Amino acid sequence: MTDRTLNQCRILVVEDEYLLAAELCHELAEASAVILGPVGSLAGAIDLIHAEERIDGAVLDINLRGEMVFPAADLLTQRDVPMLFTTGYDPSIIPPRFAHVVCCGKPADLDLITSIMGRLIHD
Amino acid sequence: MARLVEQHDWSATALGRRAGWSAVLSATVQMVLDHGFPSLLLWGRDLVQIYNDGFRDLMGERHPDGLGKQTHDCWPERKSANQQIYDRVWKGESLTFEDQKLPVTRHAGTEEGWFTLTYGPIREAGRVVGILVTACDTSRAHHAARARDDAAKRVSESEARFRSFVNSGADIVYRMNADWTQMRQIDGRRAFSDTAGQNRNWRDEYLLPEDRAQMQQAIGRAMRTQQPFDAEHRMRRADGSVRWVHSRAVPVLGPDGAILEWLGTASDITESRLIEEGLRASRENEAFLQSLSDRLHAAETPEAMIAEASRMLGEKLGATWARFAEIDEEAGLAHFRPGWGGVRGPTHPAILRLSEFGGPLLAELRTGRTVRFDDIGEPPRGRSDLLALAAPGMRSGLCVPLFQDGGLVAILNVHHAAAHVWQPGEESLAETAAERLWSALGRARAEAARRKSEARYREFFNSIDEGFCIVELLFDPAGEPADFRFVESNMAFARQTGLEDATGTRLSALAPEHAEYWRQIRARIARTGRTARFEQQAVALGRWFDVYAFPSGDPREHRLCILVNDITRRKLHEELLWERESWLAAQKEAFRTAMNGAAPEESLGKLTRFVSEQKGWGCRGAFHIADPEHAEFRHVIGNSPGPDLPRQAGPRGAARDEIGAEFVTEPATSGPAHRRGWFFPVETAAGKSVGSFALCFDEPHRMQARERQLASAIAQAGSIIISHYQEASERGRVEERLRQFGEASQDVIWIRDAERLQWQYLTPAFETIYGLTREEALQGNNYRSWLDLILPEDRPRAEQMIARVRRGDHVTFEYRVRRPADGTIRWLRSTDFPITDGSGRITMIGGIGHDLTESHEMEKRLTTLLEGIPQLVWRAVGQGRWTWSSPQWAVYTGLSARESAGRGWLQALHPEDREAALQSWDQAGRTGILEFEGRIRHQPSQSYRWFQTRATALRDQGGTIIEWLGTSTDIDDNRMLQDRQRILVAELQHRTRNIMGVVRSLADKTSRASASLADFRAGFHDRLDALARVQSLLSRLDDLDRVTFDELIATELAAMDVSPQTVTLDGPKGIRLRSSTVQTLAMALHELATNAVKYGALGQPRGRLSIVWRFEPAGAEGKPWLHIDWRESGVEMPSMDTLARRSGQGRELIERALPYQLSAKTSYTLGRDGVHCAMSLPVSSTNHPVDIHD
Repeated sequence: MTDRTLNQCRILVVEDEYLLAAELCHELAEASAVILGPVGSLAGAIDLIHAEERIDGAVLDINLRGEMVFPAADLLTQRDVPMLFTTGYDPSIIPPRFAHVVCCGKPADLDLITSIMGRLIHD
Repeated sequence: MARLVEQHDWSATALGRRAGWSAVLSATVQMVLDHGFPSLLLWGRDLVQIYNDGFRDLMGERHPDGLGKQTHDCWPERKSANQQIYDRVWKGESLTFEDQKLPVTRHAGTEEGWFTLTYGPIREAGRVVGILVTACDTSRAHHAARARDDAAKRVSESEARFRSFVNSGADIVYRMNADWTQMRQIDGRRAFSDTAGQNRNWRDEYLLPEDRAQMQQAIGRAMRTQQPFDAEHRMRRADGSVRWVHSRAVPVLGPDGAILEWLGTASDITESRLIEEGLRASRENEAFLQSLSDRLHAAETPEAMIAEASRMLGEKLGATWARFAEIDEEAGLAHFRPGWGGVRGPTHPAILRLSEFGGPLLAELRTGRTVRFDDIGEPPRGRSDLLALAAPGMRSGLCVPLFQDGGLVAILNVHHAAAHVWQPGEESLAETAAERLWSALGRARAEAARRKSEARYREFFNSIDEGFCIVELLFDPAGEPADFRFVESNMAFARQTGLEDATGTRLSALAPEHAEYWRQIRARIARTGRTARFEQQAVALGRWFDVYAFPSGDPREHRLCILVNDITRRKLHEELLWERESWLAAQKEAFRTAMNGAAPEESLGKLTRFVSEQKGWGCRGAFHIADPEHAEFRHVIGNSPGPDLPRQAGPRGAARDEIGAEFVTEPATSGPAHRRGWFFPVETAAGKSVGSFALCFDEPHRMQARERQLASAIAQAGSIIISHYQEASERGRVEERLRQFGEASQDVIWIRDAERLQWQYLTPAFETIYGLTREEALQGNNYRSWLDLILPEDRPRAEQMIARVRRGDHVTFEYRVRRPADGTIRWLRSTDFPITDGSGRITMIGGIGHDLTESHEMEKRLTTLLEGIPQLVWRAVGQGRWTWSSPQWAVYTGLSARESAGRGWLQALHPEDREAALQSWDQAGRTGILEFEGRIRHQPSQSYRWFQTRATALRDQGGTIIEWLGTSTDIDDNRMLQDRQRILVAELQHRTRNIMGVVRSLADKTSRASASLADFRAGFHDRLDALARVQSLLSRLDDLDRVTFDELIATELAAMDVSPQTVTLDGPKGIRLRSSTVQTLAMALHELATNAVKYGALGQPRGRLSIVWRFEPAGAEGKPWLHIDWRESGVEMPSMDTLARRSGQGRELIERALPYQLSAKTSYTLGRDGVHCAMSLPVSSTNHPVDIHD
């Protein structure tokens, strides 16, 4: 477990629900990650991705106040940033190009998200 | 040769038996045989030939027959040339001809050799009895060096023989040194002094001084060119007399090519020269007169004759004038014609009065004598005639009178401007010329007169229409008429008889084939002198003539006049008429036989019999019939040309090729040998070959046009008969099949004749459909009866359709009939078609009638049903090919049934759905069920709506799909509901999951802030209740509804059971909140309210809460905003620790969550007497100020 910690890893958190975002950030911070965000809108996410030189991983809520997060996911894909999706929707909503991306249903198991993120970053 | 001469039978020749030969003959023959030169002895007046080995080469193919033959018989082509030579030699002359080119037979080949030929007389007792011809080969001069080398040698070697040869001749022989300065030898033949030795003075001795220069010139030329010397010159004889000689010498060349010496001969030609001179003058006159005659003959007019004769005579005599005048004694005038005047001749009057010549001149002319004046000089007075002559400048003249019928009619005058002594020759020449001119003039004038009358005669001769000719009978040696020659014939004769250019030609040459008969006829007339009239066929000419002949002119001339009329056409017509009548009878008989059902052998036999009965034709006919595939020709009747024929050009080839293809057969081993025949294709009018007709002749024959015509007619008649049989058998087969089919068919099948349209055949189904028996239907004019059954409105169409079939169309049409029995109406579909005979003519009309009544009614019911239902209905075949679509479809899509037919319906389908629709059709063929959903355009609104399209297959009894019956049902509303439902479900799931997350988070936070489980329970329940209130608010909303702020705050405050006096609410109602903001905002308000109940304005009696909000239509970022002001007052504030601990969760929501989640601007302050919280957040853009009211 120790070698899978998110020590100083810069994790982008995109989640429009404040309480969920706060909870997730809290959990990631517990795992020694540096939180980028959280941001609750697609525009905010894109701005942040452009602004941050180093992003080690990302947790993306799919539905951001009615907008789909996929344009931001595309930017991250271009930068080879490992990511996972969280959503309350059925996973069938995810386009085929992100079929490989892990999707965690809500309510999310924060421990699971942290460990998946660690595995994604270190593998 | 010696042996041949010895063995020859001389007794047959003029020489007589060998033993009886004279000594001279024997010796000469021996000499010839021994002679080194080619030699030929011609003995006796017959000039019988004896020759030696050398001469044999010159005989060529004449050897050996030439031995003992008379020379002229042996060399006939040279007879005239040789005769002159031999005549001279016979008189004693010796002749030499140099460089004669003769053909020589050497080494079995013929080549050309050059020879010097010497002819010398052989004498016996002073009389010439033979001629010796010696040929000296001079080919060496032409064969260059080789011959040249041994020339001298050969000369010397042959010296002795040469001498003996010379002795036998008459010529002088001489030898000169190379430059002719010395005469080495001369053998003068006694007349000239001989020389034997060097004579340098030979010129002085033999030549005349005046000839020397000319001689020297000839010698010089010969020496320079090394060519033979040849000259005629005078030579002084020993007795001082001078003779003319012809002297020739050839150079003898040494091995170095230089001339060694000259060897020459000289012949005495004195006599011949004298004769030649006389002859020359006479020849010249003769030539002149000949030329004059030629020119007179060539001249076309009398004037041209006079001018030409005058000119020629004038020039010939070197005169100044030559004039011709015609004397008119009655008028006393002389008419001078344009004659000839030398270079500067004075003009001469054209007419002179005879009186001016009064005197002896005219008188003498009138006596017929030619008058000549050598020199008129100064004419004496009183001689007016001479004065008249001298006037134009004449000094001398010849006047030649010309007479006719005893009177002076013309004169020809020749004059000199100077004195001239007229020679007798000149006088006679002028006389002869004058006579010739006069006779030529007479001929010309007679000819002109004859031509004129001839032209008139000819005009008449050629203008008559009857052929006319005059023939001269020619007799054979036995006095029998053998032939005749056409003396004259007119143009009509050529036209009628075809004998062109007959005049001057013998009949045997013109038309040998029919000479005999005509000859006999005409000979009889010519001899009996009686006229004859008869009709005669000229087989060779292929014509008939009406001939009228009668003798003409002197009976000894055996001439006949013949008038000919070509009556070929009339004769032909007579024959053709008879022939045609009999042919028509035969043809009629043949047709009748065929129609009566007799076998083809019998009917066609009538035709072939007609052929063989043709008198004088000698021919037979035969018929072959082709099988339907045209592969075999079966012999039917008549004398077949033979079994081999079909393999030759045969009937098949003939049928394909041109009419009347000819064939020739080998004489058959059995049966009549048809030497020659022709095939005629037997074809129907449509050009289909059904057989062939052969015409065979027993004798070699040339096909006549009539025969060809008749054969073609027979072939045509045959084609009708054969077609008849073929059609009959075909019809039989077809009718049987048709009958079987028709009996079984439920459809009515009928056949009408195309002419009158009467039914000839009806199948039993008719009775079922029409409700009439066939007997009833066929009665009377059944076409009319049929039309009467048809409903009046359908009748014109039915008639129109039948008319089209009659013209060759195939038609299908529907009509209704009313059954007479029960008055019901039957609906029929009829398919009618023309039926043609073998020639393509429409003879009948066939029809198939199908009863549609049942299906029509079914169809009608179905249509009614389909048009009534609300769905879009259609019918299709195959893979989605529509055949029909309901009016509803047309109304909905705007596409008519026709536009939708086939794949036209696809246009109404949304482009994105078409592919899927077609795929469904692909599968439908297998499953028998079609089902797909697609958007169909609603034409009136130009919008698409979703339809479900279904179709089921209609199958026949065999299970094959025959049609699809389909509907398209509007499912758009349904589909929208479904969509909404799906979204709602997804949203519900989303929300639920979110809420779960929120609840968990609430639980976590509550637990963290709770001191005890009971504490937690209270706080957690409280929050869950708030959450539940929001959810119940949200869940009752549809898509477009929004929770309004006043509702939200009222709900929350109601839950808190707040006393109305405590709270003051101030703000407009109806501000619609974004759904996504409602929960968080509600939670924030709940926290504020909870805190207020626990620690603030709502929990303390003096506490007061004021909630004021306002709406800003265009706030920050151009959106409507809601500003909320939460202010508590009159509150006794607890310790800050407590507040901080208790209000932590509420503050976080307000200060963090609202800005984060709602982009809200918030502030939260703890005032002295209460909490003050300001919140500003964007609200739904669907807010309209008018809807917001206080």
